[in-house]
Amino acid sequence: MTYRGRARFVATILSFAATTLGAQEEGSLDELFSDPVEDTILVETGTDHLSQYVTEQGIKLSGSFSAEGGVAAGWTSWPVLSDPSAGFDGTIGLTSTVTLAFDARPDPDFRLYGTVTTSMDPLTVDYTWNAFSIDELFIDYTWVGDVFIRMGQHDITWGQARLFESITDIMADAAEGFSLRANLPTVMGGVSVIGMTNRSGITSYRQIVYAAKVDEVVLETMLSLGVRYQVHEGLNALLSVKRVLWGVDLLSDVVVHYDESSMYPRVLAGFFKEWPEVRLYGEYYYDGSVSGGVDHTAGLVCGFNNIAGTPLDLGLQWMHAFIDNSGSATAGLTWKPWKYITATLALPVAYGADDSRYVTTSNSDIANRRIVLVFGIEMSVSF
Amino acid sequence: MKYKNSLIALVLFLSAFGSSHAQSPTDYTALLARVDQAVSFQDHDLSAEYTIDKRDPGGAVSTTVATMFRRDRTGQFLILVLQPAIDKGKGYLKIDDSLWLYDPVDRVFTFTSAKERFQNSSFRNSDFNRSNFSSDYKPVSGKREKLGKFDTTVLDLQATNDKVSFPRMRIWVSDDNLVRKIEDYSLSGQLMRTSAIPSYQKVGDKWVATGMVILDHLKMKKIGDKTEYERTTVTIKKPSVSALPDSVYTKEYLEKVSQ
Repeated sequence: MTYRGRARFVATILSFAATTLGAQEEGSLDELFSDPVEDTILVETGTDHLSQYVTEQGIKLSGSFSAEGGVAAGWTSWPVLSDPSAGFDGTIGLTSTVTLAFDARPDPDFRLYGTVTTSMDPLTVDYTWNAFSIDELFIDYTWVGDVFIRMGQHDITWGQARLFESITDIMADAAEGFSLRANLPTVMGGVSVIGMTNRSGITSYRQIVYAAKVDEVVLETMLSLGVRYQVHEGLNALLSVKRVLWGVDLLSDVVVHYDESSMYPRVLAGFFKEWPEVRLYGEYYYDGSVSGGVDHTAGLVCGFNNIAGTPLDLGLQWMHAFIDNSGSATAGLTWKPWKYITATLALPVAYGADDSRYVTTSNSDIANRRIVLVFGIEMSVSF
Repeated sequence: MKYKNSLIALVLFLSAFGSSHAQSPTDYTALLARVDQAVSFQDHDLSAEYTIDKRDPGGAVSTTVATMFRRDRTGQFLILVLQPAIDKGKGYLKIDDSLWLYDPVDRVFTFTSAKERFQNSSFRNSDFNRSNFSSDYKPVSGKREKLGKFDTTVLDLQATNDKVSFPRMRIWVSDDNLVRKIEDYSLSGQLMRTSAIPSYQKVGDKWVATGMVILDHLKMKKIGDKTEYERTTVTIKKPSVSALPDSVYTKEYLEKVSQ
């Protein structure tokens, strides 16, 4: 760009900024055209915008620190007026977590990335930090330009569930194993081939987990077909479908499990709709591994940002298991009063028989209380 | 006699003016094609740095900086967010009418609609697209109008498909075939958004906006006796037509470069 061009460009930016900052009544933008900066002709700058992402760099460190504290009080059985203390239980919690990440790119085609985590819970264990554990450690290697290889311990996420997360994610255990994933992005909508070890004492190639997934968009519908096989686990096949209709994300995952003794499906269907200050998400899940075909579960989540113009965000969640008519209803408020600080107030209520799913195994409260009021404060800083 | 001559002169003037400016629907369709041609990079990739300043009604300002890579001949783009720090590494990949969002924290791709707001601003993901007025809209009427210093043709457009973000639009096209102002309407005729593009920059033989100012008429607030709308200012810097590898427009590349 010439000096004159740069001057005009700067003037344009300044005029935009001035207009942005100075405008009062803003129904029209026509004032911008009364004396606009002239159109400019640029000499091709040859700017390589990609270089900032793919050039080599030394080790880059990053991380996060979080400290959470809270109190919770409620009843493990429905409270009765005659004896309010029956079943009453109060707990406190305090934990700190530190995560460190390193990212080294000695060459545009090679990257080494890892994260380690330690935590301390001074209320239940000694006042010492746990030993650092490896969350992820992997390399990325770009082979002949178009094949992306990731090898090591790393997450692989298949399926689309959010409320019933990991139920249709048939590769969820990759985070605990060692895997080699090769992606061929320019074949169809993308092809992934994976070999993974997720157990100790492997002595034969037959004990390795083999998986492959193909993505393709057909008629504006995302289709994804994934298959996973291991000799002891059997075969799991996943079909994911997603389409946006009338501004609503509609999604479905179907997982079919097959081994020598059984074959059953698991089906997930859901939707997601977003407005400027509201998000609505719903899912239905059918678990065919339960005999009789009676295990149906549904969930609905609604989030409101800045309710009534306040800095409070409100979340409502309802989960229901039709198999035993148990469920949970939760209302939660979050507020960020200061930098790095988030305060949360939540009221989860579990309903159903005493031995039902959402009162026991799927109860979101670790003390399995029926009704509990939780207040927590978190400080979280990333660097 | 003098009066009669004046009247004839006036009629002749008006008829001459009318014949030189009245245009048929065919002319308007051709104009839309020229508009698309002026800003579509069919022979090159286009990359540029976008700075998007959003000012909420009442004054809160947030800034997003992103790099865009676009290939018009295949309808693809890749956007990588650089700022704010909390969103760094977030990416948007569009292939045809499909959009993938990549969250580097969860390392998850989400398939969604290309019509959504970009980083919750009035700038939409679809605004990164190549111009496609001639395919997505048909002109229903037109007129000549002065827009500040520009002589423009104002076209009322109606969508020809339901893939577009807005079913009705009014655009002001200056005589150099560049869109200077856009009003987006709902099907019921409610004004949803106004965009102004006062100046362009030419790269090779094509044009790229230097910046845009967008008013969101659905996000407003009464402050005193005045109405303030959400105002988004988009600045486009360092446009380049350097060739990019095919693999740039893939999910794997997005995952690779996100940090």
